[in-house]
Amino acid sequence: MTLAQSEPRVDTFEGSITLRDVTMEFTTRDRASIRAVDTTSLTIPSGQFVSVLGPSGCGKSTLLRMIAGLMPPTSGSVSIGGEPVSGPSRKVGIAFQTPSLLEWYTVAENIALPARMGRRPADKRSVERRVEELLATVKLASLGGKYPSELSGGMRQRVAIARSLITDPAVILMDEPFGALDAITREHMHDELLSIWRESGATVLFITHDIAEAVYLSDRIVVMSPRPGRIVADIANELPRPRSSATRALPEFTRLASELRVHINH
Amino acid sequence: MTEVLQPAATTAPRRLPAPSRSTARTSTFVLRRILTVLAYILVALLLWQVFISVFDVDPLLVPGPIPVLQALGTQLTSPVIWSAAWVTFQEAIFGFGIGATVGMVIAIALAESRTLYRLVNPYIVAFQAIPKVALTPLFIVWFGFGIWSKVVLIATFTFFPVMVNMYQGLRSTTSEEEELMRVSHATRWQRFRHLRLYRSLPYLFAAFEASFVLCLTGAVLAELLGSGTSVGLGTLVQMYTSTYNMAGLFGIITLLSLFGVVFDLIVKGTARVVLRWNRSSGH
Ligand SMILES: Nc1ncnc2c1ncn2[C@@H]1O[C@H](COP(=O)(O)OP(=O)(O)O)[C@@H](O)[C@H]1O
Ligand SMILES: [Mg+2]
Repeated sequence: MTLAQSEPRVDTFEGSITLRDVTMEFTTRDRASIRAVDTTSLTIPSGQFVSVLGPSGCGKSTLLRMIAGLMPPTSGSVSIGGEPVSGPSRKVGIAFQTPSLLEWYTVAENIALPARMGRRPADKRSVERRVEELLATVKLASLGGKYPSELSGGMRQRVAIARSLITDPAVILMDEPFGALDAITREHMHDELLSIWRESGATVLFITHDIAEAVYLSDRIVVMSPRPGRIVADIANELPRPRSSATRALPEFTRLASELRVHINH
Repeated sequence: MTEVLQPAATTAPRRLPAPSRSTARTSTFVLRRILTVLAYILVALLLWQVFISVFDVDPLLVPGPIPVLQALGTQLTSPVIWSAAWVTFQEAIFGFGIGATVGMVIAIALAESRTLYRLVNPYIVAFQAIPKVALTPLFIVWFGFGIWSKVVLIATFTFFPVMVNMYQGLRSTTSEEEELMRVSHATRWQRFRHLRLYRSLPYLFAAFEASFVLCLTGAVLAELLGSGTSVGLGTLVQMYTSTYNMAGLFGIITLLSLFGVVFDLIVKGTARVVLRWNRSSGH
């Protein structure tokens, strides 16, 4: 595996995501069956920033796990870049709800981890170079030798984002990554995420239950209904880019937010 | 038993930050502990003397600290007590080493294989239900009157807490951590080596702390119940009791308690070094 410097992926197919009639059913301990995601279809072109919005428990994380290849759907199919997903792939980077850093490793070692695992890990030198670049990208340059316990919550989540980028994925999946951060840190992180996305050219699937967050970040917002999870709205977000604090003051921002609120409350 | 160790330390596989500083901190920690222990000993001796004087206790039942310290002084200059201490020490160390090793190996095997866990777990629970002391005569028949019957008994004491704790520690990873290893294409060995093993260390050291002192108890108990060829501290306890040498008896007890404190200190000090990363994330 080579870790080329990230170049914007223009006009490629690599990062497209397709869900076709995907259903996921869980069997609980008392043999009851829960339908977490119900016959859902979705096509995301390469390079798009899509938010999935919905109340908690509606199947958002389940959807993300199926796209990540962490669990196969009960029925239907998932493909990335036109290829069916049959398990976790290095083309996909994930940032979880909690940073999930390994406290016993330094920041740099945590970021390098996904590239250093497996039977054929990437070359150590090139990984180290890429880690340095990513540390600069997430504004943590010179903190590579620190341990996670020495960082603030926002810094830890940045490390987690840098880690999701180490394999130069064509698709980045994010599961409410900023949910635990305070409002001010969160707004900083939004701007950083957008600049990372612009530079990498990757497709981003961003899960959230925060309407303003979805509006600020995305090209497109998909709204899911409470269980069984289904797509009830698929809305293009035409707000101009680059976005900044001025964006939040636009009347269009408020209009879109209230439209989404209506969809969420039926 | 399942409680995670308190503030301990970071394990950095490679690059340790400022190793000199952390080593200094650990040695201050050990020094402070030693001074604290000495202070406690002084207070205990004082209270002991006060108790003897106030209640005018028969020295045949409880001797005062001064005759005990004198007896201890005489004992410490005779080779008998040193060879007895060496025997007891060996039993405790070998017993602990064997019990802990077997416990760790089985914990890893059970944590890595659900099938094995389901097959073996009932036997382990049944084994744990046996009062181990009742096995002493059996072990003496099997392994003789030397140190090995005691070593085996102590190993059975240590095995269970180490196994249970380490198993719990190995399985204490979050689902996101496990998923991180999966999306990173980690092999089974890598998942163990980079994630589960580290997660289990605080639990493992908590078990060590609990069982190390238990090892001394086990050694003395086993010697009381049947020592023939090997003369340990427990054997001396028995001898002194039968000759009403109360000062000698209390001397041995004092020595044993010192042993226990030193063992405890060794385990806690090691935990601080090995678990350095756990210091600020723990409670
Ligand atoms: N592994 C699982 N086993 C059983 N039920 C699950 C599992 N994962 C999720 N669920 C159930 O599926 C539903 C959707 O969960 P999830 O996708 O986590 O929702 P969200 O991320 O939107 O909060 C919930 O009712 C949850 O209890
Ligand atoms: Mg979720």
